[in-house]
Amino acid sequence: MTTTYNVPRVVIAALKGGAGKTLITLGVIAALRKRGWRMAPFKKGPDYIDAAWLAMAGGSPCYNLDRYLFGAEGVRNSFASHVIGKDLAVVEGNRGLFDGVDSMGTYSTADLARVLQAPVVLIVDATKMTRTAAALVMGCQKLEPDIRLAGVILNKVAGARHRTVLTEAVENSAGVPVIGSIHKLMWSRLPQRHLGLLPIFEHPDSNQFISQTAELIENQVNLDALLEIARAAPPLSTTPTSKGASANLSPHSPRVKIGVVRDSAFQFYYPENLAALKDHGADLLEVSALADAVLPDVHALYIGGGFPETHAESLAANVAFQTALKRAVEKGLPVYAECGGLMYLCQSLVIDDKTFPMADIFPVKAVLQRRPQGLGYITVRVVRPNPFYPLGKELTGHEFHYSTLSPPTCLRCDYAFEVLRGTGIGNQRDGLVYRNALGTYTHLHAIGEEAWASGIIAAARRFAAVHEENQRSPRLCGEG
Amino acid sequence: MPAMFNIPRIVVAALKGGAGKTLITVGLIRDMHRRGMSVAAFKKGPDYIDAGWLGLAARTQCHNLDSYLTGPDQARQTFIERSVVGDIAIVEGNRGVFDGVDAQGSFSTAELAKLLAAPTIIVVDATKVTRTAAAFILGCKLLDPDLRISAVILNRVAGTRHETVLREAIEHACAVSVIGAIPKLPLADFPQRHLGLISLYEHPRADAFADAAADILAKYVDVESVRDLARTAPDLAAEPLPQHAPQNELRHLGLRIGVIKDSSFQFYYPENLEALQATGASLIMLNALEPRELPSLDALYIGGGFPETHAERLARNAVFKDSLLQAIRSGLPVYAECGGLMYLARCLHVDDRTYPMVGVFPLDVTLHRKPQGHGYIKVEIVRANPFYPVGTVVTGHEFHYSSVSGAPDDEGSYCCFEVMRGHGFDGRKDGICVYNCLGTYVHVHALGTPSWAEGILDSAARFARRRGMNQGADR
Repeated sequence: MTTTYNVPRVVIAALKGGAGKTLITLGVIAALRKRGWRMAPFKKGPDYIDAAWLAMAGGSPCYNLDRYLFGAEGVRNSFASHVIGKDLAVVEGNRGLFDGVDSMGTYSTADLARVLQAPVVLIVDATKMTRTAAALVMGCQKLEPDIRLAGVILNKVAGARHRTVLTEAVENSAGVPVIGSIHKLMWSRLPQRHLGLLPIFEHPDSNQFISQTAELIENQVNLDALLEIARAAPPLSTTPTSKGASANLSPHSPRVKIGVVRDSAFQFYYPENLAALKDHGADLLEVSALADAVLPDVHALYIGGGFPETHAESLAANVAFQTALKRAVEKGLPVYAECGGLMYLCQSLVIDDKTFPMADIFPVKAVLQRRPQGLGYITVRVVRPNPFYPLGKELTGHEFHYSTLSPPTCLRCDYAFEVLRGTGIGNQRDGLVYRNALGTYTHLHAIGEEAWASGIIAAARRFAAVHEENQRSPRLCGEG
Repeated sequence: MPAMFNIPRIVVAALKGGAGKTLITVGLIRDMHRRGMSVAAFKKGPDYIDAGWLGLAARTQCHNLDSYLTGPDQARQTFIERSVVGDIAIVEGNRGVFDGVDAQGSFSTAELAKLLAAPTIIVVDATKVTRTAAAFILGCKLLDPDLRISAVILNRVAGTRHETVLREAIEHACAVSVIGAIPKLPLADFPQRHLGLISLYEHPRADAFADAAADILAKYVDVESVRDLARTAPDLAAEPLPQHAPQNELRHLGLRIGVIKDSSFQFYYPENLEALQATGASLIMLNALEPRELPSLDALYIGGGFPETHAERLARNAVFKDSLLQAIRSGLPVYAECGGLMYLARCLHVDDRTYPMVGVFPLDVTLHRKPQGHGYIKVEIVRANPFYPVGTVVTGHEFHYSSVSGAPDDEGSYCCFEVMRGHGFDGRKDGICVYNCLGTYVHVHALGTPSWAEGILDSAARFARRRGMNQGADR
């Protein structure tokens, strides 16, 4: 059945990457939250860091919307379910407004705005430009005329005169209202600017940074105009699809315990992934690879991405945890490790001329490079047996890593994935397997790949069954 | 009756400053020069540095075209006069293609391209953008349908996949052909970083850079199609070229005008030097870095440049400084712009070092990291001085990283300019005057301000007459 609902919403987009989109979106979300609006922040595309900032600014989880990974229906459903009880949805786009995976702009921010029937506010980096900005805005109006370009925010303006010329030119030529303008020096005057947009987990002052940014936006952007734009969005209709999750969950299956390594070194978890594990019958247990000395009794372990490189010394120093993890893997514990998690499961992590011992599950070294080694969507095919996915299955996610593995091809290793698009570990390989541990550069989103959660749950159940069998046997013997 | 001129020509423009326009134009010009073409090089707007590079690339003088300073008719006239003998004319725009002095884009690169009826190539910095670049080009076509956007050159492309997506998107949505895609080049970074920042005079490998730029262009851009596009320009109608009849009287024959031109002072519009010579005066080129006394002159012109990078050598050259100071005290008319003003001050502060300068003006000059004044400047002459009648309004441009401090209205000196637009000394005053010496941040273009050369020549003639009389009395 189709239901209709309405939520004020706006997509914040830019002409190109690096225009200051995240900072402005963060400030808008935090400023409106301060006014008492219940905010639903969203981030377009696969991204953990911006999303974490937006969640913090909104005081509410930030959900990623990605048509490439979820399909249009998946995007609409996710959006519909996460705006329930919210007053306003703010979606941060990515890259340039029309930049997608090909020359037609497929899966662009504009495309997402169309799927959500959301008006667009465009951020224009005004550096070294005056009236030409009007041409760029006009071109955005005309390239895809069904997109509602409802407002412009000028960023990095050089002064009052610059602002006046830009505003007049954009409003007169393109007919789009300029609803805000931010002087270039304002950003550099933010006392906490050094935080930039680093992973927030690192910084005790991140809340202060958010409130400073909110204040800046309140003063420089006409938030009432922005709200008016958001309110003008038409009603949306949605057809709720039956959730696969509960269907897969047999009422008689016992719940399993899944550990999630979550600390300041490992922070990259989509909220939907954790929710999917719970929906499939798992109780989640947070574990710290930095602070914990023992691995709790779990039936599977999930290690997401993050920044092991900035915590390499502490991770290496926690030998007790590494030993416990290695012992558990030897006993057959299913471990699903993504990106930073994969690095942690290597023999060691090499940063410049320093080598930090890691958990030593896979007989390779992770080597940090200065430039990204893989960046973008990745599609792999499952070609070798592994604890989580059936052979032949194709999986699509994204990768973003500065590390490589050495040696690039390890003769003693099993690679479960063949890379069809993207980089992975290299040589068209990804998905290192040792016993029931899998390490991959591919980040999967639970909405896009239902097999992800069900695979982990199934492996956990198998482990639970064997494990409890083993535990029962000696007791029986003892009794006998 | 207007004459018709067939001049193959092209304007190279961009969406914003910093897109790599100068490197591409330098490469284009040098590539054509290497193929044996005679290239007429032009730079839009007031600019000495880019113009220096373009001239070097063409191995000829580059001329500035600036409708704001000289009026559109003069800009068009200059273009025709200076390109009529060449095989092709290449004009480098400035800033974003529609960026002018106001919201209407008056005096923009687009306006100049239309004035010259020149096909325009847009350079797109492809950093962090794919299909949205098609929206940019589409917008440029829509904003001003009269501008003939003939081609696009992509700069800083991240790989073949990026290039393909950009090419397809732009050609499909805009019907404009992409004639080149230059990758992000570590090699290109070096000249790119220095173009526009330092002058080629200081660059030991300037000529090699022009060749490197040409190699890049030849490799990544269809230079042949640039020539073809240039040839599609329509004939330009113009009034027959003037004969400069009234000025050819040579009424200033025999006057000796000194010009300091060395690696610290290099900012001279060719038209300014021509204007000084047009009525018979001869130019004496001088070097402030060499320990030689100032020769006998009737006036001296010191242009802008980079005294800061040669501060120590300038400061140590007491022979030249002392003789200059002596000449100024005995009434030599000196017109000093920007770097010249700095040189005639008491001292120059660079970081934590202080360099004594000539010491004519009771001013200290401090070099900063950011420009202190940048753009067009308009001043009214409010006090008597050796060069301009009171009441004259002079329009030029300023671009200085230095500021002046001290008491300009002291020790017999005073400011004779009132700033109407721009910054000057402090947003209000400019044009310090003492003896027969004037120092200003305003760079004047002789074609925009004919009274500039007249003022210097008249002052020189007066000085020569007075000196002649004195010498006569001595005798």
